[in-house]
Amino acid sequence: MKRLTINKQILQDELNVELVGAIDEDADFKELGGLEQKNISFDFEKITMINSCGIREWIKFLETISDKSNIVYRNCPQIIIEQINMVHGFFRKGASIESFYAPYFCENCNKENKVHLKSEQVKNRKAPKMECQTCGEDMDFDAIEAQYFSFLGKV
Amino acid sequence: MNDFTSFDHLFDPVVVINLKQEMVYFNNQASIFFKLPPRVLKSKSNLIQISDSADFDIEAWFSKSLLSFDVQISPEIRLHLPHDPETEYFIIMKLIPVQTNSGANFAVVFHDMTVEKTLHMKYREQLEELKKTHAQILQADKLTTLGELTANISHEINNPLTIAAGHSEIMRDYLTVPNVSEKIPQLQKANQTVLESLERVNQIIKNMKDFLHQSEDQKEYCNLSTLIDSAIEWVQPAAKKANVVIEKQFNDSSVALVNRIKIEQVIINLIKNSVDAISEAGIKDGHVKVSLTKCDKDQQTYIDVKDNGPGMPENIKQNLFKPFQSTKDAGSGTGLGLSICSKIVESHKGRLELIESENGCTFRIKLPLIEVYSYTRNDPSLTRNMKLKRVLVLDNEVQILNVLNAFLSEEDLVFIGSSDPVDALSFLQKANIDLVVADFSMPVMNGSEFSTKARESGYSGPILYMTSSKFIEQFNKDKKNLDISGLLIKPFSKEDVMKTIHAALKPRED
Repeated sequence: MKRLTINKQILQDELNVELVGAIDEDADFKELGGLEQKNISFDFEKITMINSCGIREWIKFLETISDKSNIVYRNCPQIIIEQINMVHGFFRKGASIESFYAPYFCENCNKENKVHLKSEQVKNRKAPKMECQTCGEDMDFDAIEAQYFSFLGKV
Repeated sequence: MNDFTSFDHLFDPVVVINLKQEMVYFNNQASIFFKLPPRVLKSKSNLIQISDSADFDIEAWFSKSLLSFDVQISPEIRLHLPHDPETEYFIIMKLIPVQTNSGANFAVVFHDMTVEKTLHMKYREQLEELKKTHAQILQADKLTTLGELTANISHEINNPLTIAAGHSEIMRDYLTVPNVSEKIPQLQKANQTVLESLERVNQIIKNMKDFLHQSEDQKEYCNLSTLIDSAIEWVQPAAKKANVVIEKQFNDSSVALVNRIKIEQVIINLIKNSVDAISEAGIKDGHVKVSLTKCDKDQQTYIDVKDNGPGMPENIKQNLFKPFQSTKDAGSGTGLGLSICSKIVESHKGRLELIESENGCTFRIKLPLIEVYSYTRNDPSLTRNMKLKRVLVLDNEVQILNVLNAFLSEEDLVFIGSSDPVDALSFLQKANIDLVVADFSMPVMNGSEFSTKARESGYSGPILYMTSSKFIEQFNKDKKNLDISGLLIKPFSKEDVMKTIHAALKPRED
């Protein structure tokens, strides 16, 4: 059963693709086949699940995109960042990650937060200081920095 | 300080526990796998707090496994995460002892099989669906064939009904005359004609019902010439309408082990295709010849359907047996016929081929000889259990072969049927047969002649005769001269047959 929805928005030479749902063995990227727009962005914000079969389908699909296209990944949730860090080819050479979500924890509120970050905010693979929006206290980065931000070395 | 950081390089999640099952280390993959940040994982004392299984006692398995300092592998486990109820994994755990400065520790490596398991389940479901769809396609093709023939079949039914009605009127008229006793012979003749006509109607309807019945893959010993006659009968009305003559040429009287309805469906399809091709080409003296031949060299029986139609262009030939290839106009014919015919013949370990396509077409159905097919069909049971006894039964009557096949199949015996003594002798030399049961009075060779040749060729196993009581004297002679082990007197019961066979199969006391 298909569990992935693909929403496309074409603006002249720019294509914005929103992916919604699960990237798994049933994921079908045929409708995006042979993309040749100059700038292509993929918004992963609404991706809820990804598995090894889905990764395979994604990598196969990336190979069909013209080398001349600029690819940008946006709003990558933690599950996507984890795959980018682990799987060779999930993130194509020359592509960029514009923004993503990083896990933080507020000890004061005892609450986990997924904070939206832009790649340029991360220097030397160190998590930027973030304040809790509820209590204003500094939050702790809730993963291992060297591992979580290792993708920035690939970009 | 213990250094387990080398586990960080692994793709699998790894948790290190001590003898008290306390977690002392976990790699980054473990944090991702258990969907818990390192901060939370550090605060948990053991694995049971972060994972659970409804059908496997993880704690008990650890307790037992930690007693021996050996690598242990768990069965496949369905794992849940108490903090994330929507997550379910299928995993295998590997427990690896790791000796450190602080004593014995164990690395628990989680091998995640979830994707593999999911794909396998999907594959099985889709395979079942495909099988059902295939069965529906087969049935649909049958219905299509029946639909195409029905218009002509109703004509066939009308003929005998008209005859029966006519002769019933004759009988009615005879019964009203004063000296009716003088008309008895005519009345009897008219009555007989009525009965034969109604029997003909009954047979046509029975054939239709048999044909439509969703048959399982049940095979039986069948006389191929009878089967071909039946198939020709189906197509005869359509052929007559198209002025096509159907001839038959039986060079051999072959018995085959087939699903009668399915092979009949194949022959009907082939003949009908020929008739249609001739009709569409406007050929005036159209004819179709169906022939039956045995090829000893190939150990096969051939059924050829040859026509004098327009032949077949090269571009059609290439994809001939693929589904949805049709030479007919859209809307007439599904194009499934030859694809299905090919699959049916293959399911009998045979082959459907186009052997001539320029001056008309000749299609050939190749079927293995029944001795070979009976033997190879039983192969899985033979390889499973080499103690199963192989019984070769030789009789030219298919009903006897089918009855004995049914009897022996209920016991742990492998039944190999044969209707031709020459084929049976040839087969005896190639295969290991534990017992031969031979009909005594066969047209080509009687039981004595067969047994003599079998002994001369080196067969030393037991032989039983099947016959009527008038050949008992011959049996007594052969018992001594040809070492015949026993006699089955027709008609026989299942009990008699099995008792005699088991007695013959008992090892002899020298």
